[in-house]
Amino acid sequence: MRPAQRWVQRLRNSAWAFALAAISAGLMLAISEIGYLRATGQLSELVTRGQARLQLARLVRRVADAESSQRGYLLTGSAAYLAPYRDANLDAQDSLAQLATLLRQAPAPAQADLQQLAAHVRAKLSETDEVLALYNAGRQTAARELLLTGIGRDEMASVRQWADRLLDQQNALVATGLATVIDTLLLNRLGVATMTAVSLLVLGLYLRQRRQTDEALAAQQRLVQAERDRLEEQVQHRTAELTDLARHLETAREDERARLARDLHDELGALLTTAKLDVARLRPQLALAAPELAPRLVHLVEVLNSGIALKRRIIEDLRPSSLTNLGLLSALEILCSEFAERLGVALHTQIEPVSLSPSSELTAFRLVQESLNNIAKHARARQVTVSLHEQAGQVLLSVVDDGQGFDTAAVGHGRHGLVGMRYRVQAEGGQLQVSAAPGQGTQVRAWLPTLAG
Amino acid sequence: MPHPRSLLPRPLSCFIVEDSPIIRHNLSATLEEMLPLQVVGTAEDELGAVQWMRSPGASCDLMVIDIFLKTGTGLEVLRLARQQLPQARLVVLTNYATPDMRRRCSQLGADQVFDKSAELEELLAYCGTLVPPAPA
Repeated sequence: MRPAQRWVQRLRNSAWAFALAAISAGLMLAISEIGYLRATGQLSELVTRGQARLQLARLVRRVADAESSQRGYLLTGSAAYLAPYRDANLDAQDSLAQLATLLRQAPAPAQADLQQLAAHVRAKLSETDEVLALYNAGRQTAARELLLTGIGRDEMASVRQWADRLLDQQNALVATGLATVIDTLLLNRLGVATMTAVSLLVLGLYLRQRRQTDEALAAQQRLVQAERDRLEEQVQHRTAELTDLARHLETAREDERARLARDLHDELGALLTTAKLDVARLRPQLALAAPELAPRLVHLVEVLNSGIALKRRIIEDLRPSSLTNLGLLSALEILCSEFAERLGVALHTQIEPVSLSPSSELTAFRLVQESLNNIAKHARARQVTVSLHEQAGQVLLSVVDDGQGFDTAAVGHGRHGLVGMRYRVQAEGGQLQVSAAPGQGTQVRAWLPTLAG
Repeated sequence: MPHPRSLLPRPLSCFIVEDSPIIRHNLSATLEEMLPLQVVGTAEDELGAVQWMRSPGASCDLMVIDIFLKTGTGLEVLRLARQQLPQARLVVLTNYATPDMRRRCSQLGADQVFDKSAELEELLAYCGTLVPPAPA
């Protein structure tokens, strides 16, 4: 249950961290975008205010220029003052139009102020036009009187007053706009700082969670490894038990065979020998008393000899006396030559002296015996090679035939002989390798430890 | 062909080393029946044979020795007999009359080696040759 709980916990943590990361990224983007939009809006507003201020200053200056040019013309009568007057007049009107555009979205009081300013500008300009018109019509006195009424001066003062008022308004707006921009930037800064902190938190969570995941994975792997080790140990233990059992069974079987061979040899052998001794004693007397029975006696001797031969063959099968009496080399030579004679196959031996323990020698002998029996039963071989020699501190025994072979993968429980041989060789601390393929012959190889090492 | 023992100079004296009682008994009987021979003693193992050979006055003309005994081995008996009884004929009677065994027995001083089941006739024939010819 504990791993399952951990998985749920991990999933929850992971979803939580992911949602937090997504929200944090979205907020960061929103704050940045809002800040950008607000800042750009405020900045373009500030630019408009700046332009309005410039136009206000230009308007006042150009109205003053117009007044100054008019006065110059009136004083000197020089037409050179007329052109600047006209330019100033036109520029002032242009500035008014510009201001109307720039303040189009200004609040109502500002609009009213602009109307007032425009009215006074137009009054001032019409006053100067009027004076000039009278002057040009030759009515200098009327012109001077009009001038002296002070209307022009008052209008000029009003223009300045309204312009200053508008300028102050614009300045106040610029100050407010700047404050707003600074606020926006501060807000942006705070937002980014907060979101950065949140991101760092999410990163920390993620790292912690990843470490937990890694630890859980490592723990899981340790568990799996431990389980694998345990199973391997169990397999080794069972294999050792099976090997011991096989060795015990083989030993018991060999002991039983040896006992049977000894009984046959001692008891049956003694009986047969005694019978032959009786025949030997009978023979001279029978030759005198009943010579016609001689053929019967000959037959009896033949029967006894057959019995003796049979007894020997059985004993030899049960327990290779040649191995005990003559050693492995001669025992194998005899076994091979008998086999070759019995089956009429070409059998080559490459047998060298080796040092093996007595039980290993018996195993080697039985292995060759079993292999030759298999060849006789299944292989239909023409050539068989039996070799025995020492190689790198081990004894290598091999029986190779050119018969029809078999499919090693398909061999099930049919060939207990080979399975038994494998256990037997393993019990001696050696290894057995059987390689065969249909039509490719069979190779049986066994490596057995030498007596010395 | 009766052969009254009193007429003969002296029957062959024979000692048998054999672990099978039935063979020991029958071999003694056969040899004594068919030859002018007297079995002077038997042993069923190496120790019994050695003790007899070392006993004072132990002597025989012929010693029949089995190789595989209940305890000990006939080869050791053979080796010692060659030293203790230099004048005796030593015959090995064994179930393992392989060429190798014959060679080893000869090296230890055996005069003849016979297969226990297959060469009994030859053993009797050989023993017959040891009997001194009857005085004319």
